[in-house]
Amino acid sequence: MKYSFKIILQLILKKPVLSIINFTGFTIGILASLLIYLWVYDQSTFEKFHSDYNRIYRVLTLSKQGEDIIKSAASYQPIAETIKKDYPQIEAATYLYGSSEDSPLQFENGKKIEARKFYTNTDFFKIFDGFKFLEGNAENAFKHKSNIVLSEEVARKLFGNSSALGKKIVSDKYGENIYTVSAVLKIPRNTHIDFGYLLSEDNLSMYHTTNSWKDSYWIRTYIKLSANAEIDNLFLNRISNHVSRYSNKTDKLLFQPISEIHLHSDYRTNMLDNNISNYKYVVIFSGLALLILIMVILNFTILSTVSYSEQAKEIGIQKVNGAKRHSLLLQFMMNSFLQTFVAAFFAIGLAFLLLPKFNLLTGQQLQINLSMQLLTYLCMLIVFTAIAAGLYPSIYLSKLNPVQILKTKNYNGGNIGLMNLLIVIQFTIAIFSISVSGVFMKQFHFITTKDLGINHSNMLVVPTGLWYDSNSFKNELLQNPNILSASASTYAPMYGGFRSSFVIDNKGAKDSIQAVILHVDDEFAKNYELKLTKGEFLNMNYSAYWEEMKKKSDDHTFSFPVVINESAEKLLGFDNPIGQRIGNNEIVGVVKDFHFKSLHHKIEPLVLMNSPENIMTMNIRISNHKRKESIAFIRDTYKKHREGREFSFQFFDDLLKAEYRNENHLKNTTKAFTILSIIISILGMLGIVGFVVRQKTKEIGIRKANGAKTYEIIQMLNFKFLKWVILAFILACPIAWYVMNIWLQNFAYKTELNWWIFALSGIIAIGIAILTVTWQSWRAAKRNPVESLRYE
Amino acid sequence: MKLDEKDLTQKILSEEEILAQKEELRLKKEQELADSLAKLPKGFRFESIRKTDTSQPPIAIDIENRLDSIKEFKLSDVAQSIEYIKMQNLPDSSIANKINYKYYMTDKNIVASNLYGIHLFTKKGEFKNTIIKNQLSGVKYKEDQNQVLIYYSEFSNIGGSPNVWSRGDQLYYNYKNTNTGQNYIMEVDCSKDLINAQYQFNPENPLAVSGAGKVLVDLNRGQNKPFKAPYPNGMSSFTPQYNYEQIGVFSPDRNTYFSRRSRKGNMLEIFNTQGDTLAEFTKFERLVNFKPRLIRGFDYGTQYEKAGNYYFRSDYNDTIFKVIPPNILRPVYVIKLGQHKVSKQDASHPKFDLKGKIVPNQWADGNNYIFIGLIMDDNYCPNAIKRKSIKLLYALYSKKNKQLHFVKSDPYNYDNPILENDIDGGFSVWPSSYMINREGNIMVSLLGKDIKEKVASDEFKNSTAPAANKEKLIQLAKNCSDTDQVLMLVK
Repeated sequence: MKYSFKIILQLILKKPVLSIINFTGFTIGILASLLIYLWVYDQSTFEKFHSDYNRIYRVLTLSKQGEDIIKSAASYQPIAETIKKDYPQIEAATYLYGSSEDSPLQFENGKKIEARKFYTNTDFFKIFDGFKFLEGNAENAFKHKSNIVLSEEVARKLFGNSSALGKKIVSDKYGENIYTVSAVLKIPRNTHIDFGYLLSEDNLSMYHTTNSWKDSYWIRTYIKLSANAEIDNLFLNRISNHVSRYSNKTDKLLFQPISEIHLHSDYRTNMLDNNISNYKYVVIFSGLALLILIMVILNFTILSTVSYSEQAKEIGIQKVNGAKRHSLLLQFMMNSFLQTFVAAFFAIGLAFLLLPKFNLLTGQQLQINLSMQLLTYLCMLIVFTAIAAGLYPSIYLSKLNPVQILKTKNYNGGNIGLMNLLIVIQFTIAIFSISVSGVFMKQFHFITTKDLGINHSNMLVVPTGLWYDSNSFKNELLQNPNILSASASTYAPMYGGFRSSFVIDNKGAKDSIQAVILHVDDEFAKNYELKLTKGEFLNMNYSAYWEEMKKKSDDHTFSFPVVINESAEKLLGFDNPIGQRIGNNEIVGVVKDFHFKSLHHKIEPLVLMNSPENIMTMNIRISNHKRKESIAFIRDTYKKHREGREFSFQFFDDLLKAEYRNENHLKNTTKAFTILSIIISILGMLGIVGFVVRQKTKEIGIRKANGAKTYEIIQMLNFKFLKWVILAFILACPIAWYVMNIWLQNFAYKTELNWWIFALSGIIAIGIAILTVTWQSWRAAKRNPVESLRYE
Repeated sequence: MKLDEKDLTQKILSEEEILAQKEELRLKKEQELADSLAKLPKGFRFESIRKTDTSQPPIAIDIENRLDSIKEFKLSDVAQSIEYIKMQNLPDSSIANKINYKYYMTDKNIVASNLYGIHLFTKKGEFKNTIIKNQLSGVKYKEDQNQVLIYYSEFSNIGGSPNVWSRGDQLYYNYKNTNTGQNYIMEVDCSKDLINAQYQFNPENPLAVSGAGKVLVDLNRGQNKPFKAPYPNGMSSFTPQYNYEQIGVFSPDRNTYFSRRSRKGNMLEIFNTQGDTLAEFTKFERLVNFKPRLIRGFDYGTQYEKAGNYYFRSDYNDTIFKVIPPNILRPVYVIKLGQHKVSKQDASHPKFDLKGKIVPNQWADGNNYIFIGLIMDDNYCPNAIKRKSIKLLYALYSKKNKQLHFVKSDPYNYDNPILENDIDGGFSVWPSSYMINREGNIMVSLLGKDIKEKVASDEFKNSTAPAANKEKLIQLAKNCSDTDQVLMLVK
């Protein structure tokens, strides 16, 4: 054993370049696998901190909206109560009734903060026991109607490090409500649920004293099955029809395991659904890590095989001196293990160093905890890598015939076919990575720069919650010459709006369409520079319209003016939509289609209407200079209108970027992996070229002695390798095209898969190959031929 | 919990298709009826059909043989939960609001009406609009006696009857102006926002309707006659609840309407919207050779709307009919009283001894049960109550297992509804016909002061209903003023 170690060390030291290549490769491979493992593991832990997470489900609704069947997490409030009552299989059922905007909270005369409010019932604490009580307990959380349960973050904002329990908090959004803190909950990072504070449903019932099977947009329902619940077809059939049993709706229910929400939410989400990602990213990142590992393993396998072939004589002598095949096999495997093991240590060290960068790249908050799970994974990774990398060279070298080796003066067992295979595989992966990275970058550039049909430059989005008072706030803002324009709306035209169905001309439910409603004021079109194609935009404020309509009304009814987009116009199919009625509204104008959601979504039929009760946001275009002063002015003006309320703002462009966060992370991560794959390819190429050059030292010497020019030698060697790189290019392109085509289907609006992306990838790969080969060839060609021929 | 999404999608589509087809069929039928009515020669009458449909024979409810099947029932035996919808106060403080509302639930709204007007609320109880504000004179409500007194010498009424009905988004009510004699069925499109109309009488345009909506049917066919009281200096009184139970006029579609206030003494007349009689149904039983000077009356029949259809039972009769316009009465329930039945002729005779006789009193057609109230042994009048000579019996007919059980109760308890509320310890319940909504839930009309009194009562305090539910009622009481109107929805 000691002897074997000695030999291994000799081998490593004897071929430092090869050893460095192998070691670097192993380190990169293990590092990439480790980082991706951390990320994938983190993604798979979502919601699993609740003790019975495998019995917890979120209720999804399938409903007919217009002509489509829509799957959504929106849920009716009475479902929780009725479903629990009707089915013994359900142990607990709860719902979260969210509000559309943050509400103020204030402790004594302290700072007034804004936090998101949710109403729920006591089953919430039974189901979500992973939300640990930092203060208080489940029994007393909603003991009194005026109790309030704070998130840790909100508690810290209000009370710092002192205890919150029993303290009185005032919320004065609609009149003054005084709550007593009954508990503080810790919300882990890896959950889709996020709330500022919870109130008992008893508070809700003061405003909504009936259970409504109508409104569902702000409600999410969760159930927990009993421990030994019998789930048979009869039960599933009944429960899926639950809504129809209580209302005249045809909606059906589906049940999504809570642990699948993070990665498998293939339905329409809204602001209540936080931290939603996509399993496709897990597949892509894992795939990339696997590809890197394969490249590393191949590098080691082939370079070790060809390199040790150069030591064939030593192996032959060992065999003649009685070395058994299995001891040789062990020796080579040990070499592989040793290098992998040491590389793993380096990789872990690097992982600690590079984790913050990786977090930045992926937008995660990963941490390395040397848990049993991680150590087991690492051990498995080392064993797999070492065996996969060392198996072929060990078997190949240990079965060499010593007689043949020793008889041949210059035995060279280097398998050229194998080396060519390595070049093809590595460059296929590298070209694939470059192409994929190129498409990601192009798509990202496309979605972030595509004309949305609105002018959003220098647009500041301020959540106001001012409703009817928006107008006076706006008017005051416009006094400042640096405020170019302003308009109020429900949200910035990036988050869509509320979905609703409109009966066309009151012909009945079957003549209805589904459209998104965006509540806006009369300045909205001007502010965002919407293009009007027919009629007029909403040109009066709400009160003026109201008065106007009252005058016109003959039977005490009236229809409110709305503006639709071209998609809605097309769907409605009116010859002239102006003056037509949809639902309770009259169409007064049509605007050119514009994007009011991220480019993941197609432009849907849109109805713009003026309703101050749904106005919660001010969109303010500021001048490009004196931005700081403008923002300060907006803040001061806001404070005048909402004394004590927290002021916050975001630029529209930042909101836009946030919508493409996942794509940005994907792009960055892919870029990093592409660079790694290129480095590994270069390392592999360097090893192979070095080996070939050593083999051809005599040939190069003879050629040089016979008058061959340096460039002719470079050309000869380049051609030898380039044909395999070109083959790799031919193989990589269709694979990359296919994969990218699938990925782009995630977007309603996508960039073109241009040929030049693949051509460019090929050119980059060929360029790298040429540079690597040329450098090695040039060194060989520049050598004095006498030197190479001296030993012959 | 794996469910086949594609399969469920198909189910939704087929159910939606069925609903659409139903709606289409309804509209088609309505159109066909309108077309055929328009083609009828002047004075044409349909044959009045009141035979049993053999494919759907009437359900016999055997009172006679089930009198001994007494069972204890509590509210939780017929319902699972209770919700309270606090109705927002009317913004117009000039509208008196001290009488409990009668509630009617459309698909999207709650309509609350009483002597003083009709108002539209959301299903959450938020005020939307006033449909009509009644302008009354010579009318007084005595709260302590729960009686509406009408003094004919001063009486006038411009307003709507509390009985409303709806189809889709269209709401209907009966508008009357006693000064002008106008008598209309009004149609209000609730899908449109309503602007508060000028609900004051305008002397310059006395025929202007002072309520929301359009005139669908002129019940006087243009022949308005101002109201004349039979006894100009007399008075009459009734409980608001009696008024709520009576549906005098109803339109099942846009082509026909029916009235039970027949000038000819018919039990029902069906008209087209121009006022032409399409069919009339004579009463089974009329008083013949009736000699006494006084007539005793204590059964006025039953009438109610269910799923857009009109059902009724005439006085002292034992059959509940469904009206199928333009000319069919289909018996759907028969109350078998056997030897306990009393004829109208006998019941009306003030000296006829009613001992052992049973007369149907209440009838509420719920989802799973029919709530039946019966009068036994005497005439339902204050004197009989005072001398405790009348028994009130309550029975529940289960639609599921088609069984009738009498509810264990004190037959001499004339005051309290009979089903003890063990769900939240609050109000006991026994519904009348108008108290069942279209989803089959029971609607109980409450005032804030009732709720406050209830939670302060020993009965409530001693109730073994779940504490959490009781607490909700306590909280509701705390948050109510005495005059707040609350809808108790028993599901």
